[in-house]
Amino acid sequence: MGQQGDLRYLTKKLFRDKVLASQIIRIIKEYWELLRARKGVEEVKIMNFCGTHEYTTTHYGIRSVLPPGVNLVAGPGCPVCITPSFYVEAAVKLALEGLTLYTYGDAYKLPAVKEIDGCRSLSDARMMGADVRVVYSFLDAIRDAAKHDKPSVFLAVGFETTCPAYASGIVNRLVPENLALIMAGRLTPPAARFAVERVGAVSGVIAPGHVSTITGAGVWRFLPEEFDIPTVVSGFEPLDVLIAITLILKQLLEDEPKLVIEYSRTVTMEGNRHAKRLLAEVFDTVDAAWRGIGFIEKSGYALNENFSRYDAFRLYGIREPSREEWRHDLLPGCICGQVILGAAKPTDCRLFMKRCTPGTPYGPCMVSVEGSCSIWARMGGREALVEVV
Amino acid sequence: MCLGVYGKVVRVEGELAVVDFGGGLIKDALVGVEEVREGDYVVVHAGIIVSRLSEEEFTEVFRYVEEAARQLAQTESRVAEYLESMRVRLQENLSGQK
Amino acid sequence: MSKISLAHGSGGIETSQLLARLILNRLPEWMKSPDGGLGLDFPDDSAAIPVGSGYVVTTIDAYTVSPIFFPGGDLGKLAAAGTINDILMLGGKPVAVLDAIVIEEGTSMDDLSRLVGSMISLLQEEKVCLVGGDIKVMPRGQLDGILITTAGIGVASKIIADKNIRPGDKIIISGTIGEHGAAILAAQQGIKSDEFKSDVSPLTKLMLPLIEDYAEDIHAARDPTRGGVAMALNDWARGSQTMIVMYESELPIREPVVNLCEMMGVDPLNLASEGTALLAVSPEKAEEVLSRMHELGYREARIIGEARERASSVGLVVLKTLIGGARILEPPSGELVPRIC
Ligand code: SF4
Ligand code: SF4
Repeated sequence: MGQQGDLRYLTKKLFRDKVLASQIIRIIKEYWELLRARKGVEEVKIMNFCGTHEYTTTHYGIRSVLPPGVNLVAGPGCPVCITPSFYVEAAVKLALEGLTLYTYGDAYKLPAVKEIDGCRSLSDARMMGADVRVVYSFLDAIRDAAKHDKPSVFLAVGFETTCPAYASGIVNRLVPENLALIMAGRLTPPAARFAVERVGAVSGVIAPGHVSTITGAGVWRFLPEEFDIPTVVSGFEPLDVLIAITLILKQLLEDEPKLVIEYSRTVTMEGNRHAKRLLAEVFDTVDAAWRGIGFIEKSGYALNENFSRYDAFRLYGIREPSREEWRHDLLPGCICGQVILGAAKPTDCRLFMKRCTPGTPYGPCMVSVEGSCSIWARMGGREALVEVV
Repeated sequence: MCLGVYGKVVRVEGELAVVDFGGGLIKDALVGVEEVREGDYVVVHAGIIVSRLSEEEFTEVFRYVEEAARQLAQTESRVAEYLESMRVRLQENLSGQK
Repeated sequence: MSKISLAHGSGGIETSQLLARLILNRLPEWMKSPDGGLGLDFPDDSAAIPVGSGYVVTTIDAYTVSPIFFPGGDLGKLAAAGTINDILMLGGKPVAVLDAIVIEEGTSMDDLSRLVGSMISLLQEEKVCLVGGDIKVMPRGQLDGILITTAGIGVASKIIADKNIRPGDKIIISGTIGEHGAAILAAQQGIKSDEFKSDVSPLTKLMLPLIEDYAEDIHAARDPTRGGVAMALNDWARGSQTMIVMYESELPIREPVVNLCEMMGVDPLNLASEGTALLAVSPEKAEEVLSRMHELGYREARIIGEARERASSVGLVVLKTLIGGARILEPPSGELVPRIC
């Protein structure tokens, strides 16, 4: 490849550079020392709202190189983890009734609270013979569904980043007659507000980069302005995250909480107008349930009147539970709701590493390798990690 | 929450674009941005282009880091020592870029 | 819920658990392997039965893959090479193969003939006999396409059992990582590119000379098929009382494979190889073995990690990451499916 001026190549070269990383880590340590010496700070708790930031953090072992007082915690950043059990149950039911069910790999494995005919997830339904197909994108599902005329349903999870694909498929009339959607899309800023209101005591926020490409970084302004929380919209390479941490510590030291775009190579303050228009055209913003958390105002995407013929619930006569009917959708004892909000640590859960282990997960946070409980479960080897570093 | 991959636009065909993800890895994606042209670098998430990458902004963020280090260096002599080596490393990484 | 799922067959944790529950836990110790041999008492590529002053090495594997023809090979080639490699990885010289072919009613005769043709021509090149077999046809819908099972027999004067890894041993890989898995993943996801080609091939030219000259120094050998490098190393760490430390910066993974994995959200270390060997070699001989591998035509071979004294009670594989951090390399779990987040 002619790699020299290639931005893809440059990203890997620059944003994964070991020497630069170690230099930035030294700067982080300096800031941390100053914070302790000058302000008597004992712990800095930085929350991310994004499963992919959490992925970068664990994948590159970022926690293992930070000073012990600088803690990274995961917030409600997972469109899969927070998808209410109800949607999974509905999808499983439709699949077992003979419909073709499409979704992404992570939603495919997501367990529901209730068993439907012995099935707790779409992967269970598939082993019972249901036609469940894992796809990389909505576009792939569109193409696949167009090849057959079996009635099909897409379990459409996702945040602001994922939902424009649904809107675009619909507006551009690409979606074939036989494909409908279970629309479970969610908006992130309301959940972030919810989290900081309940939890407080977050010293800084690493805000989601790819969501912000759509919404614009501006939606995070309330964090520094109303809650005095330094906020950095960050990219997903290891150096992006390290730089974001540096910038948060700097703000803490200078007592100047503000909104900074670290991911300026693709995020702007106003965001992606085209995608926002698509979203507004196809969806209404409604009060919606988050798994283990409850209803959050104006936090869900629902297909609006003009496009209701794509609505699988309407088509198959499924009624969504209202706020009154909605019940806590975690199994008894599981405190994922608080873990997701960063209000509790997995070790605060009575079931942690007893009933609930990565091998036999009980709650949603233990399911995926990036779920907070699953990460903590595997941090048992921390001494080994520190020794290797 | 949202895995995004960088690619380079090969061709635009209406609401679809053919994107090269490096090394001959080619797949098409919905165009989710106002306009894209052949040769643009874009971020693709689950089959849709969600934004463009800006070449001008690409290394801007390292300015923040240098600035932070320079500030620290004024009071912390330890930082001053390696500020220079950091600059050199950045330069090395960036040179070779046209 | 107790039903078999695809995850049970993906070669990760679920497969091990199923195997333990279904078979291992039901066998008294004596049944797991004959005296002085190696069998189900230790997870390895093949079994060894002592005969005279040496061993008979034997293995059996059922092969399915979708699509059955993929860039770089097909199911027939896979079934032949896979079994040959399993024999080699225990230090055996492959002698003969038996096959059992189960076919779905309605399968194209041409396809079947091509698959079996490529199996035979590979065995022929390798000078391995095909000494027996079976063919069955299943009614349409009761099997998806074709299943080929091959059993292999080889002989060895000394076996390489993977329980002998010691602190200090260097971990060497013979080629780039995850090529077979990447080719299959790309084919399944409809990505057309000449960049992906399965590495399926017999490792005879590499392994026979190494076994000949370095049988004492190679403490473990494995071809990381299902479950990939991550699974193989975790097996080693658990079975050997060492901790294995890997250097991410040293891993030979081709750019297109990295890109595909990033796009699909899967880890290249979980992708299968079908013509790549992973070796643990004593530190004194590691460089020598490595240059020999280069001479034998395996130019991408390199040292990617080392075994160390165990720090905790569990056998961990720890990866030193590109930026100098560390993370635990988990054995893969569940099916390999694309993620969005
Ligand atoms: S487990 Fe992590 S990556 Fe997966 S959906 Fe949940 S937050 Fe996202
Ligand atoms: S440990 Fe398990 S049960 Fe407890 S909060 Fe986490 S996922 Fe839920």
